[in-house]
Amino acid sequence: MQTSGELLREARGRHGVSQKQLAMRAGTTQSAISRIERDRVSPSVETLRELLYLLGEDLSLSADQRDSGIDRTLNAERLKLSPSVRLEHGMAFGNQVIANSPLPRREAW
Amino acid sequence: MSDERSLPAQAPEADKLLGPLIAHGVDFVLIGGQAGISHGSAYPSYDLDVLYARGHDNVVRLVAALDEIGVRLRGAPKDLPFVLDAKTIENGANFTFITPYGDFDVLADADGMPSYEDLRAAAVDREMFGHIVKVASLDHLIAMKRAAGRTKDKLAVEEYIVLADEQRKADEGDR
Repeated sequence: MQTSGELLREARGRHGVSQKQLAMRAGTTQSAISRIERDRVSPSVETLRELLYLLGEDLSLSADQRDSGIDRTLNAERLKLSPSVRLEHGMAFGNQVIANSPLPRREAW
Repeated sequence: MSDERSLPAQAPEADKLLGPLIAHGVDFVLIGGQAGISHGSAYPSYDLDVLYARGHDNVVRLVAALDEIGVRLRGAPKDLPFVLDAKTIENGANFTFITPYGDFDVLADADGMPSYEDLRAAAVDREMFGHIVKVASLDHLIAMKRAAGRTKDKLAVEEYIVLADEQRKADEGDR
């Protein structure tokens, strides 16, 4: 994912606008633009939107489902079971892992 | 709540640990990996964690339940004196026990949890082994796992987010 700084720097580059010019348009300082582009500061969404607007671009935000590597079908199958059965399966699975793990065991009762 | 570099002798027998708590009327909420499993998590969990209300009467009931289960401090020298009574519980907060039915963590607070009252209010009632058990909501489990921050907790956060999605879809399908 792009950082805010990368996004702004690339947009500015596409329009051939210098940091100083953008700062002038925005009523801020060149160093403030530089800090954003170097990701030294994280601008608010509104600030980033305004700076891009001043470059003739619109900021669009989107949120996409993250691929976290979780097997959703496995979870969907678990949800078909009652909580008691889920816990029983969980205990059996836990004992299976314990039986096959090379990790040391803690004390038994 | 447990050492990541070792495993207990057995996975917890949830019915044997939760049954006495319910029989003695203990005000508690199931949290941790077993709570996650009850919500549908596929990750194994090697101990059972509960949060309990700190009121004196509840602590007295908790002590009776722990006495029935049979507990001793996990990882403590066997000759370390440990008196299981209300005063001991009230003077402490979080206790990690070993029991005949697996590792059992009895906690007054946990990283990332809201107040006990808020946790309890958002908990869901789940029927387990013939009892109704209050289980921390997935949202609060996510907050607690995120605060714990170990590798296995981060994995759990990812899975619980997915589970919450799946539960929502399942709920919508039921309507």
